[in-house]
Order: sequence, then structure tokens, then C-alpha cells
Amino acid sequence: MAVAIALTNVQKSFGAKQVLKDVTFSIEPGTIVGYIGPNGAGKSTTVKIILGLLTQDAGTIELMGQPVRPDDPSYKQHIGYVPESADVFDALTAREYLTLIGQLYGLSEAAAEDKAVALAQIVGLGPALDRRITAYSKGMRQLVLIIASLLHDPDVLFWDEPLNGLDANTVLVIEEILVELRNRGKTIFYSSHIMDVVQKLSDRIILLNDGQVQADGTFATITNGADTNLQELFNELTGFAEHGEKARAFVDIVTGGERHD
Amino acid sequence: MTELPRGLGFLTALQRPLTRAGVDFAQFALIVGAKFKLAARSKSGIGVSNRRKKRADAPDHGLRNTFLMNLLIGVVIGITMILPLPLMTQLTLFDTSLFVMFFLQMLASYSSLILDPRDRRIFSVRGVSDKTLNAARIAVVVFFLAVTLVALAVPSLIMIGLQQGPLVAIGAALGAVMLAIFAFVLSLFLYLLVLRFFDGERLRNILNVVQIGLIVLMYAASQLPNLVGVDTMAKVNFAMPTRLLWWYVPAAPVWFAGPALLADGIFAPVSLVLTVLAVGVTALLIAAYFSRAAQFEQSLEKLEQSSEHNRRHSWWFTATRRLLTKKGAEATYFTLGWRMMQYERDFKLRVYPQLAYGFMIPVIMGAGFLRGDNALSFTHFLPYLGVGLTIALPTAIVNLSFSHQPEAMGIFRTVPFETHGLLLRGVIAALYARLILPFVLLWGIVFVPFVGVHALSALVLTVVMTAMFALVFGRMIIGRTLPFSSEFTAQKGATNGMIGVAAVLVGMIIMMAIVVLCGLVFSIWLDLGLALVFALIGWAVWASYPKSIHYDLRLPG
Repeated sequence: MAVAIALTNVQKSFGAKQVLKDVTFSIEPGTIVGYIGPNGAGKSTTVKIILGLLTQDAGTIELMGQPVRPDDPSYKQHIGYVPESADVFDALTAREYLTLIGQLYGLSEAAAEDKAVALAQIVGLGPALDRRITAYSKGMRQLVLIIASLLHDPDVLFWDEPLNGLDANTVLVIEEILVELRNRGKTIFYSSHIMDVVQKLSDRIILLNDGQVQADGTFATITNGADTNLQELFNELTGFAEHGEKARAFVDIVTGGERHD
Repeated sequence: MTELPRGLGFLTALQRPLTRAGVDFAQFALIVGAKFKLAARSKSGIGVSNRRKKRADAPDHGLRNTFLMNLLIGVVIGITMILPLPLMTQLTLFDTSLFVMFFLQMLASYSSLILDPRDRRIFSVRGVSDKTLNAARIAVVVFFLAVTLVALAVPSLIMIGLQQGPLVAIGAALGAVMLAIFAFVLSLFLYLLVLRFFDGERLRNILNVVQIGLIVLMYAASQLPNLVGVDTMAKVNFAMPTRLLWWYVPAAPVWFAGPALLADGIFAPVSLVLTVLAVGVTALLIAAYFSRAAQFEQSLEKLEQSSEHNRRHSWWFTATRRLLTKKGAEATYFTLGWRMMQYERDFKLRVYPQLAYGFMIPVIMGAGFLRGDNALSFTHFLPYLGVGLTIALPTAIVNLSFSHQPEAMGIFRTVPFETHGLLLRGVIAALYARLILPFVLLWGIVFVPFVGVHALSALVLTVVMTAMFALVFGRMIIGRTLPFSSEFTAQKGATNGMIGVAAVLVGMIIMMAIVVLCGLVFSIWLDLGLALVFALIGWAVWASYPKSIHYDLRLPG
């Protein structure tokens, strides 16, 4: 079976700053990949390159066994994308927006609308479908983005902080949806800073630091079976150990150095 | 599948050529439809009282109002066609006026639609090709521009038809359409070049410079006859020969008189060369742009790149903040306004061209002096500058309402914010210090050595007059909406354009009053007297801000 995503020696610079340095990995279908790294590590740049929003300086990308060519956007039919920022036309209603997105993926208007309505009702968005998105809460917008990414039944999902703003019950539903999608052969590229969720959901974890893949494997392999969690491993691999010290310094400034022990 | 908005159904006729050019017509129609739906729904900004906030489904009449305003301008241009002028002169007057107004509208209102990188994040990730996205974006802008063109041109075309016959009117209409296409594609092509060669913050700055450069070039070309040795403007305007002169070639608006001259039966070098230039250069630009249209979309991503360097406060910022604001809250708001104007790309794109327009007025009026006429007449040009900047002011102030991150102003809902009037006064002061005062002082420095004390009194008058108008327009235009709290939309852009056009009219009236007044009574005391009157009005308005401005920051509902 063809790999779902394969990046080979992908490089990208902005001016003098090299953001991606020979990034290489390949992901099998039916996998949830936790794509993690500190801010500025190059995670968003990687996703933007795969989505065709940026062009790499060097290296190749394959999606579902086909090379990604900037002049042919047809490969995006395989992709469902939830951006970190809520890029939506919020003057539209959710029904209008989701129907538009479904149609862009080639669904008929009726099919797009029906599917959007059915999905929205399951996650509790049904009663608000005819309200403009501008009036939505952060969590409701996030649900709109999640539904928009799934309308066309894509093979590969790029979800960037998909749980932003969702309430605890909806988080459980979305986590279950991810697992169910994985079980049905979908590949999920999951990017988040919430390490316990990444650890819980991911079959494989790729840690990007300073534009390079620093760790790649299952949680058990990247920790060598040590008794730790992903948060601690993340701190260790990214060379960060002074969180307590930083917190105290921060609060000292906030309170003017006063302590009430 | 193809859901083109009403009025754009004719685009279906383009399905085959668009498809052949690599455009996915179904996606194209969807995007155009969505864009028009969005354009019809604008949002109220923070600070508009709940009573005044529109119902969610209330129609927005911005486009209709803009059309009517442009029609009024079109009628004013049309009235000048009544003058008994030779055909060549009449056509040049028409094409130049049309070019100036059309270009101003395009840059002030629609450049942000053309240069919007957000579309890529929403459409491109969903399999829309760059060609399709570019074609849809251009179709939307062309629709708005076509409406503008009709409003501006039709009254003049009727007058030309009545005077010169229907054939000439048809020729002039063809010329007008070509002129509009030329202006639009010229700007697209220049944007393409700039996007191709620059990145990040530098790209944004260069885009501004190019837009301002276009305005300056436009005026220089249309005023070329004034600058190359003809004695007076009157002689130029009223005696343009129907034979080929060398300066017709760089004066681009003149080219578009060619088709009408041909329609009048003038088959001479002048009509042939002008028509060839009009058609040929426009066609070349179209070919050059559309062969690289996809690259345009890819390059828009560069507008999202941030620059890492941190700007320091300049001495001018520090000095004007100390001079124009009271310490404390007002100074803080001055800094906020200054920073927003510094970093808001769209603000620069919409406002700087209008400022360039204001800045160019003394140059146009000063052509006589540049040719060595009486130095004393130069003193009028400072008030001319003041009038020019007064014309630019409303556009600048309207744009203080907008930000690409309006939600950020929601912070004023949660902080103990009681000094609403001082916020607006601080922001207006920043606008005056950043965008108006430097121009006035620069021209003052140029004039004073030539003219002496008289220029000094004119300088005082200009400083006071522009400050007074900044305060008055600020109070009138954004006294009800918290600055930087609305998202810019096409509809609001159209309204913005309308205000810009209205301001040009108001400015013209003030200009005529000052020209007549200063022409009749040429005196330092008149300058100082007027300055005193303006200062008193300005002081009264300044003092009224804290008492009379209060934004309604409650959430709707």
C-alpha cells in the first residue's frame, strides 16, 4: 500500500533564516501522527508546504503515492485541513459556509448541505446553522472548521490544534472521531501543544525542533520505555528545564516581588 | 453548481475560454457568488451603539450610494463638456478627469480586495488553483470598477454625443473602457512585479511606494503640458491641437482620445498613433499579466511574512507626542494610533495615495512658478497644500476605523476605560503628526527662503487649518465607532471611496474660496486672521472631545 504522506529532504528558508532543514519522514495510512515542537520549530511551515500555500526550496513531497506538484491542486482532494486560526468567512452562516466548502470539493449543493447539516446536528451545532459565524463562540467556530475538513471524506487530515475552545464533552467526541477515522484507514496529522492528548491519541510522534526532526517513533520507542510522559520528554528534548524558575520570576514581576508563604 | 450572482450571469458566456485558460468554472462561480454575498454583509464595529447596530440581515446600501456619488462626479465632469472646446481638447479633458477619478477609486477602495492574502488560506487549501482564485478575484473587482466607470463616464458621453454626434460618443465610450482596462491592468502588473521581487515588510513598503508613485505619475503625465513651457494652464486646456505632439506619447490618458478621433473621421497620424498606443499597450499589459496570474496568487503569501526588526520611536514621534497631547491617557492613545498606522498595511494602501494626491496639488498649481513666474504667487501654494491635505484627511480618518485584527480593540471592554474622547483625540493627533504636519512643514521649508515672511504667515494658516479640519472630521467621522475596531470589507471600501470623492468636492469648493479670497486680498494679515478663526474653531472642537464622545462598548443583544 502507498504511503499516505512522504517528505524527503524538504528545506525552506525565509530570507537568511532556514526554517526547515532536510525534513524527512513518511507516514502509513491509518495512522494518527502527533506532530509536535516548540513555537517556531517549523510545524506550520511544513503543513503550509504540503498544502501548497508555500513552496519548498528543496526536497520532494508525496501524498497518497503521488508526487505533489504546485501547478496541480487536484491532490488536495485527498486532504482535510483544520487551520490553527479560524480562517472562515464569518459574515456567512455556517450552513452557507459549509455548503460552499463542500461544493469547492466537488459535492453537489444538496449533498454538501445535507452532509453538513447531518454532521452539525451530531456535534450540537444544528440549531445554530443559520446564524452567521461572526456570532459563534470559539468552540462553535472550531466545530465548523472540523466539519469543513471532513465533508469530502478525505484520506489525510491535517488538524492543527483542533480542540481549541471546545468544551470537555465535545473534546471527548472529537477524540473518538479521530480514533474512528484512523480505524477506517484515514491518516491524521495532528498538531498540538497539549501533550497529554497527543500522547493519548498518537500512534506515532514526530518532534520537530529548530527545523529538524529530533524524534520520530511510537511513544514507547522515543522514550526507550522510560517511566516518563510526553511533556517531560518534550522539555528534555527541547532543552527546557527551568519552568519553575521562570514562573517564579514572572509572578515576582506581577506582584512586585511580594510572597505570602 | 454555477451560482453566479444576479447581474453576473453573462459570465457563463466566458465558461469555455476560462476553462481553456485553466480556470475551474464551477469553483470560479462559487467564489464569485460567495464574494458578493460577503460584500453585501458588513459588520458594525465596536463602539457603535446597540440602537444603531444594523440587523444581521439588513441590506447594506454602500454600493448604491457609491454609485450615486460617482454619478454626481460624472455629472460635474459632464458639465465641463458643455464648454465649446475643440474635440481633441474635450476628449483629453474627459479622459484625464476619468483617469484621475477612476484610479483614485481603484487604489483607495479596491486595492485591498486585489491584495488580500486570506483568500488563499481559505480557498487554495481546498483544491482551488491559483488561476481560478485569481480569475474570481479579478471578476469581483472588475464588477465594482465597471459600476464606477459607468457612473463616472456616462454623463460626459451623453454631452459628447449631443455636441459631436453619436459616433464620436461611441468612440469616446470605447476609449473610456480601454482606459479603465489599462488603468486596472497597469496596477495589477505593477503589483505583480513588486510581489515578485520583494518580501515581508519591505514588500509592504514598496507596494505603498508604487501606489503613491502611480498617483504622482498620473498627475505628472496629465499635467505635462503645463510643465514643458506652455504659458498658462488656460492655453493648454483650451488649445490642444489635433496633430501629433511628442508629449501626447507619455501622457497616457491622451491615448484614449484616439478611437473617438477616428470615429469623427479624422484619419491622421494623431488619431492612428493614439489608438495604436491605447490598444497596443493595453493588450501588451494584459498578455504580460495573465501569463503570470498564478504567480500573483503565490506571491501574495509573502504579504503574511513578518519582519523581525523592531522599530524605535523617532525623535519626531517623541516631540509631537509631547507637543500635541497631555501626559497620561491621551499620550498612550497617541502611541496606540501611531503604532497602528505604522503597522496596518491596508491603512497605508488606502490612505497614502490620497495623501500623495493632496501633496501633488501645490505642484500642479505651482507649475507657473516652476517656469519662473512671480515668486509671490507661490505663497498661495501653502494654502493649496492645506486644501489638498484637507481633501485627503477624510479618507485617512475613515480608515482609522479599520484594522485587520479588530477584535484586539475588545480589550477596551475589559480595562477600566473612561477616557473615550481622549482616545479619539490622541489617535487624531497621531494621524496629524504622522501624516499631515510633516508635509506642511516640508513645503514650508521649501517656500520660506523664496518668499520670506509671507510664506511664514501662509505656513501658520496651513498648519492651523489642517489641524482644525483633522479635529472636525475626526469628530464627525469616527465619533461613534471605536477606532481600529471594524474589519474592512468591499462594501465599506466602497463607502470609503465615496467619502474620498465627497471630500474631493468639498476640497475643491474650499480651494476656490481660498483662491478667490487670496487673489482679491493679498495680505499677511488675512492669513493670520484666517488662522486665528480656524484656531478658535479648532480649540472649541478639541475641548469638546472628552465631553461629547462616548463609545457604547456593550455587546449586542
